[in-house]
Amino acid sequence: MLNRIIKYSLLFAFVGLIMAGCKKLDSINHDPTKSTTTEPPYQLTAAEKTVMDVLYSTLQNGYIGMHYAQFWSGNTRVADSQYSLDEGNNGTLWSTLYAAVNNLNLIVALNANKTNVAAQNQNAIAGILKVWIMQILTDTYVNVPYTQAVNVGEYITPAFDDAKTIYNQLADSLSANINALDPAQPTFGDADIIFKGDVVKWQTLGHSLMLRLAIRMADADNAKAKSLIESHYQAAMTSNADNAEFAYLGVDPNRYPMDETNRRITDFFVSTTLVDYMRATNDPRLSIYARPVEGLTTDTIYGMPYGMSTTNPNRPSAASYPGTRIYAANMKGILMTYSEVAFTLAEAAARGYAVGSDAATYYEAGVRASMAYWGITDGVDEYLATVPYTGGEWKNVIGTQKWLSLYPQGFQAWFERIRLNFAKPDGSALFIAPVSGSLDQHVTLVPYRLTYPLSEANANNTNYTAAGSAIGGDTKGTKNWWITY
Amino acid sequence: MRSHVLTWLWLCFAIYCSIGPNRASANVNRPFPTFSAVTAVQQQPKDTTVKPSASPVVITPSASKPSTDTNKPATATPVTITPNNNNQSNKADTNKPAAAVITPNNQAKDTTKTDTTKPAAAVITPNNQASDSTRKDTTRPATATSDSTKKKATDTSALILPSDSNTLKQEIGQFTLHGVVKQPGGQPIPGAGVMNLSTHQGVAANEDGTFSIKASLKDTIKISAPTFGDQSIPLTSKDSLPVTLTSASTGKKQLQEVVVTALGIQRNTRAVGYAIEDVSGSAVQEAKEVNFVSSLSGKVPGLQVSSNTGSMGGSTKIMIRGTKSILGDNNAFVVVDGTPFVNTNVNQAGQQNGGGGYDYGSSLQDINPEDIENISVLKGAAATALYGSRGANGVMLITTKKRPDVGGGIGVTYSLNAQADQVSVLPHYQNLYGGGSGGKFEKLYYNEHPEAFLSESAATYDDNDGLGRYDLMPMYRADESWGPKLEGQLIRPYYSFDKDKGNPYFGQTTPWVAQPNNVKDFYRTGYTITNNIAMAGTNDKGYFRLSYGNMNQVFVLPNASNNRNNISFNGGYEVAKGLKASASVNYTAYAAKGRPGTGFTGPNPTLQFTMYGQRQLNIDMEKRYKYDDGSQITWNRTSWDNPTPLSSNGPYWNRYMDYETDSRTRLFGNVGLDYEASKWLTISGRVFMDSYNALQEERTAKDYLIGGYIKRVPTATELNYQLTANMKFDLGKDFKLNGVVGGNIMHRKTTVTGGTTVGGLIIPLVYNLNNSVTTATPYDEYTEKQINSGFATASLGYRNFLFLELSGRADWSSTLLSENNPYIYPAASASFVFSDLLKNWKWLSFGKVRASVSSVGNDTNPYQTDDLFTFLPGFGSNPMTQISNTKYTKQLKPERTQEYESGITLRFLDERVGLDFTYYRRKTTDQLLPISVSPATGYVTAWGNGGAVENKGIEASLNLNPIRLKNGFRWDIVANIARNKNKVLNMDIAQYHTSLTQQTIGTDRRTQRVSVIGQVGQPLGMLTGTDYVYNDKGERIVGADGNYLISDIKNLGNVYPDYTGGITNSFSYKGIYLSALIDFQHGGTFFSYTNMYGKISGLLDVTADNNVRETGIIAKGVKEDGTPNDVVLDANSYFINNENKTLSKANMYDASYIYLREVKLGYNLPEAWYKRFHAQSARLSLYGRNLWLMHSNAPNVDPSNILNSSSNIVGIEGGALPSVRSYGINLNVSF
Repeated sequence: MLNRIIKYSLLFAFVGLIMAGCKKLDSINHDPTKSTTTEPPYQLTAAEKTVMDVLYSTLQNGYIGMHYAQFWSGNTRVADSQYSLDEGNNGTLWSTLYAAVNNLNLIVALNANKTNVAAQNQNAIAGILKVWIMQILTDTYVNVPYTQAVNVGEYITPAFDDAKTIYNQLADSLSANINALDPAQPTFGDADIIFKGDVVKWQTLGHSLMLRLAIRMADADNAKAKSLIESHYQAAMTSNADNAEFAYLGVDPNRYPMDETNRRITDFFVSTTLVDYMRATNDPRLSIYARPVEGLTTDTIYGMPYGMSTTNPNRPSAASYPGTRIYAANMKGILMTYSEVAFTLAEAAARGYAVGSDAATYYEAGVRASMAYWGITDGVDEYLATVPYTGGEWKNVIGTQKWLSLYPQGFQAWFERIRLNFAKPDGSALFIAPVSGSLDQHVTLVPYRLTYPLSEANANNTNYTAAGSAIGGDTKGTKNWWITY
Repeated sequence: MRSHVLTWLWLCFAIYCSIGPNRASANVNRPFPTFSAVTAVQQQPKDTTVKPSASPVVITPSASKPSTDTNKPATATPVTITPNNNNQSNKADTNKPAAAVITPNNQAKDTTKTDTTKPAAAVITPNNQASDSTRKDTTRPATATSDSTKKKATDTSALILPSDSNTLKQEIGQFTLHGVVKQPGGQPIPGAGVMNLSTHQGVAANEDGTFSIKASLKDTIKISAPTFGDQSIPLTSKDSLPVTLTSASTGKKQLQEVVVTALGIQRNTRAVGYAIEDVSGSAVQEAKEVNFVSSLSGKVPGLQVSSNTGSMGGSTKIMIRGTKSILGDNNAFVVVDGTPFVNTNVNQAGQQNGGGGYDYGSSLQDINPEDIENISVLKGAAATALYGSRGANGVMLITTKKRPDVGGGIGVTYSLNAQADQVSVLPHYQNLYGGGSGGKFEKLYYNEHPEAFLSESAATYDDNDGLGRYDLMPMYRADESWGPKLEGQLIRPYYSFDKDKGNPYFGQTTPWVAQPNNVKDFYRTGYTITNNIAMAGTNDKGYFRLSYGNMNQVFVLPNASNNRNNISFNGGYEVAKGLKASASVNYTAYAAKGRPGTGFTGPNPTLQFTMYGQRQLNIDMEKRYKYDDGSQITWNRTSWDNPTPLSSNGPYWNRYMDYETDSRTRLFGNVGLDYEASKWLTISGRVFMDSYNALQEERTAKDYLIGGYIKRVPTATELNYQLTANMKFDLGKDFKLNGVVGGNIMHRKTTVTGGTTVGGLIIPLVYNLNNSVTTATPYDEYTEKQINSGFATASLGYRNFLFLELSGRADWSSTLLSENNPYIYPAASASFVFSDLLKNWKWLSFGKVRASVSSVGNDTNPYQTDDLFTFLPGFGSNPMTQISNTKYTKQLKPERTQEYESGITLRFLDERVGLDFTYYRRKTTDQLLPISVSPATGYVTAWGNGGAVENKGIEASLNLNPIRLKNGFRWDIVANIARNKNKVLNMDIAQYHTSLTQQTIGTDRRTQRVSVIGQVGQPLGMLTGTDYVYNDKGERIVGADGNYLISDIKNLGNVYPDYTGGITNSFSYKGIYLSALIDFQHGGTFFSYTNMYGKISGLLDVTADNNVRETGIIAKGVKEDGTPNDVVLDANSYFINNENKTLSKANMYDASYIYLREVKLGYNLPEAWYKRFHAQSARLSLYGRNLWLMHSNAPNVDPSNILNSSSNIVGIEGGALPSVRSYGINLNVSF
């Protein structure tokens, strides 16, 4: 009896075993907790935010953009001010921007697979954002992957494209996307944090970004710059109401990245370069850009000499941190503001392009727009009297004010610094070399680009090597094609 | 045979999967026509062999196990039974000396089942063999058969079954027992003590080792002799009792006669055609580590165990024969009594590359070391082929104890282990300069801030410059020690402010003096107490063992403790004739508190002592870490009037306020039935389960900082259903065939839930995800995986000296698409005991050659085939998704490994010399690669197949017995060494039509320049980084500014050592033994955060040696024109510019070391002592672990103690915790 029980129980055990094994193996291998599909609006919000997060991070904007624009200098960590590049920060900048391009491309792919009435506008907005991101990439690194980028199935090791070619393609792409926008059609709505899906504003931004593209190549390709600016300036931003900004919510996890509500940011001091010039011109923005020194010294704004190491006996024991609004939780991530457009048009006018008004008009509009941006109404006229357009060579006059207006857009300010190579309006030097010297053997005054991140040397070595030699060496000393001096 | 079996098996699967369950059940009888033929007994098909030249037949004790117990380890001191004169087998083919068939006396009638067709067996234990020192007292139910004519000597095992008490009752009255006590070489042991434990009468052996003693059946006779392991033998026969005692010298059993191979199949070492290492439980029991695996370092050739003792039960990386998989897991697969043990790395990614986090360690520490009987290390692919894809990195088979340590019946063993732990190998700090930068103090003037002083006169200094009196203040904000010289100046310490908080130290000054021991004094003496009690019993129907263990560790760090409870039960019973049921249930619960953070992270004590910090801090004052209002007091205050910590909490705040806790409960074990369907067929079914629930909680106190709480609840459950048929046939008199056919279904599910607070805590000190300022971000992860398998193995033996084994396994893994399934792993091995043919070579005791060829593989993790979108926390009401940064692919195939292995085992000169040598060559192809791709692809990682890695190596072990004196003194040496040469052959990825040149395995988190990479043509695990620039003469070139020129990133060395090994010397004399293990590693490179940060922060001695802070430093090297560099840099600039993140080579070191790893002094307590407690044996031992780093080329860190996690990212020392040295005492009493 027992044996029979045993026999049958074994039998059933065996059958059970076999049946358990018959579960379809392929069906197990799908993660039930992850999505294999998504919607364009979710992708757009994420792309806008992730790019803003990296562009205004203390690591990328703080240690790279704001440093190279010489707005800030390091507190205890001075090596970055001496152009020792933190490769982690560099790699994150690169990978975040490309990942955003990949995510924006997906919007187009998702729209191709279904009938979405908003598809046309959505794709165009994604396209404009791509142009914005790709220009930052090529301005930062010169030649970068573009035509073979974000296509892993075809190009696991994408080739680098020539920077000038990329510029031309970006201009074409921007035109096409501006034209594709149709205010009569539906769009993203609230998922678009920047413009809440306002198609007209996207058109305006598109034209404004075209001005940014064009003015940057003005020295290297004047004819193209001229034609682009002349054909787009009228549709570009005309006031701060057109500003393209990403409004952070001010609460976790959607705070402005350089925000010190949770923990103080003591990594950076404002530089003497910024403070001394602003103080000399009695710039009303100074108390916004920097805050009084804390601790021992009397309450005044003092800068830290740029790139002065902690061992330097002349180093002040303390200096001013950037202003509280720059470190506020609800500070906006700036994509582009009207003051940049105004200064661009001022420069265009100075270069003799037909942009409707003269340089001085646009210059004054730029300064006023910047003041208005920070809510400054008092003392603007006096300030303009101190820094009039006629004060000197246009590059120095416009350059200095454009630089000041770009605070805290570190990357754009850095690009303009190295493009215009400007001095103070009176012609005296504004920028200095790091006081304790550059730690990069290829640059003394300022890096002209970032070296390619290590990921390219490691994972894309052949193309990386080719790109390095194509641009004249993968060093911070290699100048972009639009720098002609 | 093999192919038939496989075909049969697949057919079964195919049929049952394609038809309905009804028909399946109708068919299921067919494969087992012998179900009803229940005649045979439970016999383990196991080879034991006769050593023809040896006159006594030694039965290895493990043979006593019933066949059902396939996991039964080979253990313990062998018992030698001299055959009776009348015991000659009348089998025609037994020209061998006699079967020692040992069965319960009166069961001899029932001998159809003993099936003893061959003289039984077994080999003399080599007397230089390291015997199991904790198991010196071995009681065996030993009965020499009195009626051998009825018995057929078993061809497999001499079955030793416990006495049948009913029968024995009839044998009343005493008789005179005769016997002889010998050494394994056959020499008698004069004067050996022989004791009847029942009557407590004792005699001593004569000069020739013979003895006579009055005894009754069922009495237990205990034989002991100095330096030999005791044996306790319950009598079941009146026959003469021959005893062979083996040395009690070391804890290692390298040449164990019976080894446990894949799936728990026991085989005689003769029959094994591949290298296998057998370590007895005592190796991990006496000198304990919290995680038993750490104790194996240096004890097994080719097994590399890395750990970090300072991390309190942290990770162990268990690597066998080098690293094989470029980006996959390289850790050995661990199996406990057949139960696959889930031992995946659960640490966060950022923790692995030195970035910081907690090392939650290896879950292997859930295993109670006291329950371990035996560990088999299966190294090669041939040894592990039966484990299919899971055995690709080698297998560690752990067999737990199932029977009493002593005697039959019921035995109780108690062991107590008490150990003290102290930190050792602390960095060398400078004690000349205090905290700050630029060598400066700051001044606090009374006139400016009278509120900071008790009174104007309390201000210490006055320069009479009209500014008034002032105090000197260190730069509290500077978390480095480039401050003023420590010359006793009176200063205002950080704790002399905060008047509004009622600070009693307000306004006080303190001298600016060195505190040379402020780091050492932070660490306390830790204690680990382990208690274990086990009760076990056997009888003819079954066995059981119950064990309870408790481990209590008070760690060297304040507020750090670890507590573990283990309960285990092992039991088996013959429920019906031929049917045995067995179960093994293990429950573990551990709880840890205050685990140190690792890497570059606040909770890592080395962050503020070595990587950053101020040298002059008084550790006693730091113990006062908060005010009555709960706010923190830290040396790193923002300024004198702002107590907010700038970047560093005080060390005690970290320990007591920002602590983590974690715990895990785990249940693992198996239940099974073994059914002896016929004489040649046993069918076994088993269900194995391993299931755990863990809880990890990380806290940051809300104070000046916003606080935070992270909670993770990882769970894992793995079930294995296994059915096997064990077959054995005699093919004529010369051939024997053993085979196993089986199937296994593995199903694993893991989850991680929990979350992290966002925006800080609302209420301080309440750690709950609901106490989050903004809604907490949840963790929600899930994986599921299944592998269906069929396997078969067949072993053919010819005359017990020539063996051939074939095995194969087919796996269907859910992680690969069906078109890539199944994948098949075949293996073949052969062994030849040539010494059997060379009997007249007297000097040669044993010689065997072996060879194997095999192909195994590896599947991958779940969910690598579908592209996914990840959710980001919503932007207000706007959801956000992103493309996963990993590109998945449908194309994945299994990773394949081919291995050739050959080896030789020799023992000669009367067993004074034993040698084992293995050569292997292993090629792992089609690697499953999460390829690091250019982020310009939009992805960071893309899955693909390709690449090939070759490992070639040798493993050698040597046993020597240089001294073996008549008075019992012995000296034994056991040495092993392994060398592995690794090379990446290619990284061709067909799927992407590309040939990669290198792959980054991991990049250090902080400098981002140092990477561990695989590069074609180089060994896997090259460490890359920037180097100096050298001229033709090899001199370092210094630029005009006095700083070294820095090269591009290049290869700077291999992270893995060239060779590793260990030497154990042991001495034994009269019940006392002393052993010492030295382990070593030669080669290997690592990058050191401890040194880099310690230098740039001015904490290490080199930053103040030779007065460099006063005179400056000239970088050693030449200018570009070749003239010597003469640019003097101040010391701070020198270190920041030249030994910092940009110049990786400056902090790369050789990882070679020689370590006095373990010393044990053991003493068998005299019988008179333990008899009073009615104990059967007692042993006391003293030990030390991690005693002395005898040689190292790396400053400030212990190169054997730099592991961050068990991942492939090695060679990046991320602020390693100091090593912990332990001294302990172990008491083991058996009743």
